[in-house]
Amino acid sequence: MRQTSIEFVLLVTGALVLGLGWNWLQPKGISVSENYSRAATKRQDREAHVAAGREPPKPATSMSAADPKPAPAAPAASGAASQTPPAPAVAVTPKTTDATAGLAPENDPAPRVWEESDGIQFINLAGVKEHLDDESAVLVDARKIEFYLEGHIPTALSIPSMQRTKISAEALEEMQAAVNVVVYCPGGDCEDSIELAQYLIDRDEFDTDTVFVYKGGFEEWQERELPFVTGSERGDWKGK
Amino acid sequence: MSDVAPATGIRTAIDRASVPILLVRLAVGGFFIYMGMKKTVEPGDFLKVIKAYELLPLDPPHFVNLTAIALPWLEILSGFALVSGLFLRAGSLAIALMLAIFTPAILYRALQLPDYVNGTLAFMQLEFDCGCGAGPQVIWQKLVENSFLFIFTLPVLLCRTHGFRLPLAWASAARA
Repeated sequence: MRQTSIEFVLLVTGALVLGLGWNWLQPKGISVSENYSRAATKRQDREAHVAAGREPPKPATSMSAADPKPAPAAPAASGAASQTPPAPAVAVTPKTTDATAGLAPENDPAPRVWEESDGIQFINLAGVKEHLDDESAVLVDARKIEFYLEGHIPTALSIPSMQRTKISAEALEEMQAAVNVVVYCPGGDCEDSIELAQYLIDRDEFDTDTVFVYKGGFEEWQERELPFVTGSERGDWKGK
Repeated sequence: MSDVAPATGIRTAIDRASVPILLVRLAVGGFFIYMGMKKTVEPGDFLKVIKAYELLPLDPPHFVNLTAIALPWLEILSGFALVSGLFLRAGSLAIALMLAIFTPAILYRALQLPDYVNGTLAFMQLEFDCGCGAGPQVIWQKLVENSFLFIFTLPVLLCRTHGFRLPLAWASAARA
């Protein structure tokens, strides 16, 4: 019995040591201290506050989910690349037209931005295309690298959500210099884009007003038969 | 002549079943080595599956992250223990414990699925990635498979004699 207990402890210790060593060595290793459920944790905190009859903690912005507004406008194009990031455009709530009344924001043919319960801003397909046309956002693909290589939205950067602690300095610099950052994953139930967006917001360099999640994701992009790029090249957006 | 009661009992029967026990060790041990190795390739995916069970605290994240990192290697080492005969009882205990914990957890998660709670799907139709390393599985089949694995692991755990062990000098010295 005593020997079995010692052997068991050795097995568990060996598993920890080998696991940590293998995790450190391989590119797809995860961080021990990173919270890969930031958005889910915030959601649980919010629900706990509501269940206890307390006001939930307010997110950084106070947009209403029932008040969808147009996607933020791009700044005027300048000849040379600016070294300091321009201030984000102020969003203006549009007058709801008959054409868009009653439509869910993700199905609206006009660009829309809205907030859901976890405090993250979502953007619809029209909003993403507007950003691509204006070159006013960096697109970030939060899926695994294998899926990125099979096909991604033109100009998108690959930052797999589970490897977010290993973002390169160049990628960070590019996102910080951009007006906005739009993150996407397959869409639907996938939370990779939400978690990556929350991670970026939790860093001091990004603000909730400038980080968006493309709600429909790459699945919607493909369903609409929009152009995509395969391989490691980011590609160019020629519009559609 | 002394009256010695013949050796009887389940444990004695197990002790005598050396060849079947060896076959079980190779099968169960090999299965766990294979499944453990599959999980080490994508630790992020395994972490997502563990989180989906909502049984471990997410904050602080160290516990759930370390589980995702170490559990596949515990499966590999335990499987190797069964195959090689080194740390055999500890390995079979680890496998039995993992099965005893995972199997009810899979059942619990299946019973919480919205499709089952809403009545959209019958229990026999439920399917999801349970974290075994083989991707989405039909759950009732997985539960039956795990139950058989557990039943087969018990004799290995209880057996007091094992004919085959790797003939390593340091292992023999450890057992001496």
